[in-house]
Amino acid sequence: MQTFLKEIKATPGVLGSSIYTTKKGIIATNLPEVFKDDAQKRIGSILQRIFKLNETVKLDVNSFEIQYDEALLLVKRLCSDSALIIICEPDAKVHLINMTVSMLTTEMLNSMENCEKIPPVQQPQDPEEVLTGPLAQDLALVKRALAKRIGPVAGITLKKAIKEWLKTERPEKSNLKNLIEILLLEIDGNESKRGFVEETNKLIT
Amino acid sequence: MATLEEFKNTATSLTGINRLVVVARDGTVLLHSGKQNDRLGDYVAYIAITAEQLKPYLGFTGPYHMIMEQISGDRIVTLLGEQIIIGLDLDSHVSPAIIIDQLAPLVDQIRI
Repeated sequence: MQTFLKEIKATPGVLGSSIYTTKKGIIATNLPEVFKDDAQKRIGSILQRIFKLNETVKLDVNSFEIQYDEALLLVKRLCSDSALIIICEPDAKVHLINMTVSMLTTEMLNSMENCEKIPPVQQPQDPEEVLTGPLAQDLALVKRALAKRIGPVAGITLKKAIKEWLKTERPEKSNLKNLIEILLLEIDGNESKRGFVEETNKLIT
Repeated sequence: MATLEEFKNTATSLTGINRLVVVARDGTVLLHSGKQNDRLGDYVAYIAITAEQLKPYLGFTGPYHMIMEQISGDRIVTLLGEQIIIGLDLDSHVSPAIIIDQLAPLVDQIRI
């Protein structure tokens, strides 16, 4: 593990790095000596909490950076309970460091014991949750466009269609096209269908 | 000095910002724009506090901003001001550095 950290430290701007696991604490480090063992463990523990938050907020954050006056902190999630922590100069070239880390990540993971894969974030299965989630604004537009064609049942129809959509797709903007296609089956008449597609087209292009 | 409304106008004039949330230091949401998601405000408030908790162990001053990258490539940028915390949900094709350069100087000018 130390060899990998040595390679990372060779990248311009990197002051040192460490690998923290929830179960074992710091398993490798070449951070400057000013960071004592206890402090490194505490830093790792606090940073790991941010990844644990993913499930609660339905995000899939797998790396982050924090800018301080004296340094830039880069953190990359390795396994479900471990992270690589890199301390760099404040104006370090992040892209260069990320490139080095990307090349080493697979090898690092292979040499780590009990490295559990990062669990995928649970996607919402309830149409209500989707309607009030990040796509709320887009779905409100879809509902309005649908209501113009099928009237007051648009809300119920949209919920039913979202339920159907969630069986095969993740509720993401890039998949809205499939939801539109499901909804087209609920609209009568080619003209109405065409109007609905035109109105919702701006969401999917 | 800038008002929250002026900040919102500047931020929403930039391309690639899907959501904007401004929270007070106690986590109260003061303003949001774009797609609503109550959790973004809570999230940025939590991670900002987390970054500040690290200071005694690191011995650094700040923090000034945080960039969280998701597997999809989308990013959440958090700007930390004296009185407020700003959360920005960015498209994957937008450079966080450009957004930070434009908005960070305004953050400390905002008074609530």
